[in-house]
Amino acid sequence: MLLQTNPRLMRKTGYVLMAVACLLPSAAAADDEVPATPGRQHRWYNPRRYVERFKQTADEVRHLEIVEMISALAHGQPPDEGKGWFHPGQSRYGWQWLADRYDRDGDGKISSDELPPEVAELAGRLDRDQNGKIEKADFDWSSDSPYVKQAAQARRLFGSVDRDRNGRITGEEWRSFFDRAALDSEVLTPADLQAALFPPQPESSDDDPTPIDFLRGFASGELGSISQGPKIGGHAPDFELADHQGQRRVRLSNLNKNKPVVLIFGSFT
Amino acid sequence: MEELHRRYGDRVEFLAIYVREAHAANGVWPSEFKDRGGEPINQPTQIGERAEIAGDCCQVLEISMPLLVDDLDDRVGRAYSGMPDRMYVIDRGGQIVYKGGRGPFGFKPAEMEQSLVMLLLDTTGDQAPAVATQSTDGCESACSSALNQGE
Repeated sequence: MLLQTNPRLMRKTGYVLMAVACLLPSAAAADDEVPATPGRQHRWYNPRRYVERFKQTADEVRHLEIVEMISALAHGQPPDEGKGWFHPGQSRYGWQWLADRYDRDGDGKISSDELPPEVAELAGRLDRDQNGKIEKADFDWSSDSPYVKQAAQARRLFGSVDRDRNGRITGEEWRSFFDRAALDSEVLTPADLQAALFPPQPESSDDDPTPIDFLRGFASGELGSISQGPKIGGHAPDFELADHQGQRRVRLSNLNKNKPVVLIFGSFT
Repeated sequence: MEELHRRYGDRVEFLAIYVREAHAANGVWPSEFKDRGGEPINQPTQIGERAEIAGDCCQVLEISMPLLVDDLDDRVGRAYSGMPDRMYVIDRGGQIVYKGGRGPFGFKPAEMEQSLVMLLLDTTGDQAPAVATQSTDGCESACSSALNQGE
């Protein structure tokens, strides 16, 4: 709160945090668990006690997401998947959970005849590439996954065509894309299509946010929250909010009694 | 997102929570964005203003789930580290089942769907007695820049 209202203090804090982050090795591991204090046997006059305490504190600080992010910025990494505080999603469930439950022949694939009929349709949704069997690769969301790469290409094409960016392409938008890509020609060549889909990247400009802009954005929460949110298995913080028409107030714990809840945070821009 | 809401809406509550604008015209990283009649979006300073932008967002993106508006201090967004966007799945006991990565890179509706499906598989057979829950209709609803990315 204090940081938000005092830009000068915030900037100074930013420099200090950045200096701390620079001193620490970059790319801190994404491990949320802080190791238990070693050497509890040391007495107060033993200097090792203070060395260990210092190391432990340094370790805790390095594992804070905001420090990871500032460290990444300080090392010149632009915000991107897997960099700084952009960690992968986490889940109580995963391939192993599913395999333990349904992969009866243990061959690393769950085919439709291994699924009880009452869950077949629901579980079939897990077959991401729809190749008829659920396997470990269906749960790989890293950018190395072939499926994820395909999806990125498809999204790129989609983004070039969906001019009003409302998430839906109309026939008109599709034809308009054709006209733009074909330039003045009646037909589209592979080179035209490539040029339309992958225009040259603009040079970085002065308008791009600087590391200090990012710090300001983090302090205000615009570009990400300094807080880290609840962990897997942790309790969801309860809240009550009004809807955008101010007509209805919703309390999470009331909805949550009978059904699971999906929360989607976001804004317009 | 809309497709997921349609597919699982009878078994799962979907809530969209509108938080602080990430690329407001008067913000740190402005970007001209989205069709709001060409009008720039400034960071709302009044809760009513925020609700209004949320409503516009809802219309442009035609979203049908309840759209809640976070307070100006972003207390819910901060508690969940929800800015600029992020998704969670919470089970009936109030425990976090899935925590998506920080948006925009971590916003992966299909990844979230897998956790949701496995939660439903895990709890098939021990559903709570059906209790009528209030439902909202039409476009009193939700929105997220993120909602039109991804599948």
